[in-house]
Amino acid sequence: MLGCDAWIRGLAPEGMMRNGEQKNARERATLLTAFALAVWWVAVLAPRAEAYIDPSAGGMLVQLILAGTAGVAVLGKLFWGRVKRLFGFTTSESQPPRSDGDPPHDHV
Amino acid sequence: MTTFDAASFRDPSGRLFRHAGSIYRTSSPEALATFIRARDNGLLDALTSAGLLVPSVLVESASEGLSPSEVGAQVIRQPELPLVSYCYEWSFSMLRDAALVTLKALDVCLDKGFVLKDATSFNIIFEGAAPRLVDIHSLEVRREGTLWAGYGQFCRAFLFPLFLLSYKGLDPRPLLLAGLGEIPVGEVNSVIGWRDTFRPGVLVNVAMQQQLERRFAHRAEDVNKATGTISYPLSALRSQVSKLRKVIERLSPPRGDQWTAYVDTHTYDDAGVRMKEGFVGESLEAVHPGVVVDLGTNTGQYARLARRSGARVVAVDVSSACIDSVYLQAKGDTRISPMIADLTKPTPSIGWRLIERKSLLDRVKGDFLLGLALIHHLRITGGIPLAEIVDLLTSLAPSGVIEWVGREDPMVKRLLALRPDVFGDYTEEHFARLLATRCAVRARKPLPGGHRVLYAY
Repeated sequence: MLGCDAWIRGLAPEGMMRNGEQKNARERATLLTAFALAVWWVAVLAPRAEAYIDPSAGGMLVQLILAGTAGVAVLGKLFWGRVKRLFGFTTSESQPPRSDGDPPHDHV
Repeated sequence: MTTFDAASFRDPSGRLFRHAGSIYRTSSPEALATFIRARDNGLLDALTSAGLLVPSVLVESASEGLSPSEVGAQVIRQPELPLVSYCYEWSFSMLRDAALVTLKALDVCLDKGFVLKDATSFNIIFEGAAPRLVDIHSLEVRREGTLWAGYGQFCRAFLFPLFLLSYKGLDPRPLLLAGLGEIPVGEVNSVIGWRDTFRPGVLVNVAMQQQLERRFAHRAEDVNKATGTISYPLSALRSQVSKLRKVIERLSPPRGDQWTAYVDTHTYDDAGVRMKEGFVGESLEAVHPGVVVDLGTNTGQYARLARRSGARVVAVDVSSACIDSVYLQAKGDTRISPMIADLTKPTPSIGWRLIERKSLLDRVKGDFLLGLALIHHLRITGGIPLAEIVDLLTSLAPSGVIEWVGREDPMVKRLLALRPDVFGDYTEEHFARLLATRCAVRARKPLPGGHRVLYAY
């Protein structure tokens, strides 16, 4: 499980892997993996109500993945904004304007 | 007064018009500067000599007999390709080769600091059986670090229809027709099953693109900001193009259909085939047509015969597998144009004001028509009255050969076996009378077996 060990080492702070601390690192890795999966679910897989499709957003963002580490980081940042908003860490004023439809109608 | 092409209005770089047998493109000042740069740094030569781009030269409007006040002092001249077929008339191999020409042209562009700003299939026209890039204004100087803006369109116009054909055996042409040459990622994703995500190219280009599209389409401003912050190195773009090429080159064609086996299963013997070839050859010899329209070309046997007689041939068939076979045999030949079309429901005109992309009947005309083993399918399978059929066939070319297939022919019997016989007009006498009222019949030749008769007019 070379890949798994590398993942754990990557998560552990410098020097953490010494003298029997591997168990802690594993627990930490499991927790973080679960958290990452939860974030992925919230950010990507949870159903959305918006129906409007901008035809180019997906095509541009896929290329961020192909652009390597820097691109993935930018993509992660986009997702992170969504997660933060979902958990109420940002105020409604700081949210970007919606562009998915007509402005709200004035029902008078 | 210059009449611009009905399809050239989207790109502000320039418009297209026809004059004295050539295509001309006007250019905005920026587009003109880009063209001159592409010409001077050798990009145009590189693309043209590789057969990827139609020859494109900058000319003075006045010397071409054009009005500089209307079209600008300089215009770009290209040869007019004799027939335009659209992606919804292409077979698998045609679509694949058009996609590869787009990617190869992009590769050459990247060598010279350029990029293709869009990647629609309408930028490619088949000169016979050789696809060429025609939209010169698609060439643009690449700003270092930018993403390829044409990628999404390339997927919708080429990659997705090829995936549907190769991975799902699904004909994408109705979707391409309805979507003006593009299939949205959501539609492809709904057809592609989870097992298909393990196939080359699907995970990133379909599944991930679809998820990202769904999540971020409504956040276009954020996407724009985010994509503007990173630098997309040339090496990453080259690797993306190379991966797309590999995925497309590895796609296998969909299976054939009943029509590709027709040459082996048709109802006449070798003597009949030789007699038919002889009669068609003599008729072509008598007329020396410039353009032959071969309707129901099947595997292209008679299209190639007409091609050998020196004519340019438009080979049309309802079967995509047949047209694929004709294309693969003719590949690179600029004088055989294969296209898929069903005469009983020919390609309509579509797009803005229904004139942006022309109908089949607006584009296909010839000097000589081949309608061999066709008429019974139009009358009995298609339900088109005989007078209408003769009207249409004789309107497409002033001369030709039409094969009459009588009621006693085994194929006609098979077509009639499960249908009530409501085809009272389907007699040779009626056919001969209809033909004689529209053109001069030059020769009549019954084929061995007595059920099929060739008419030359």
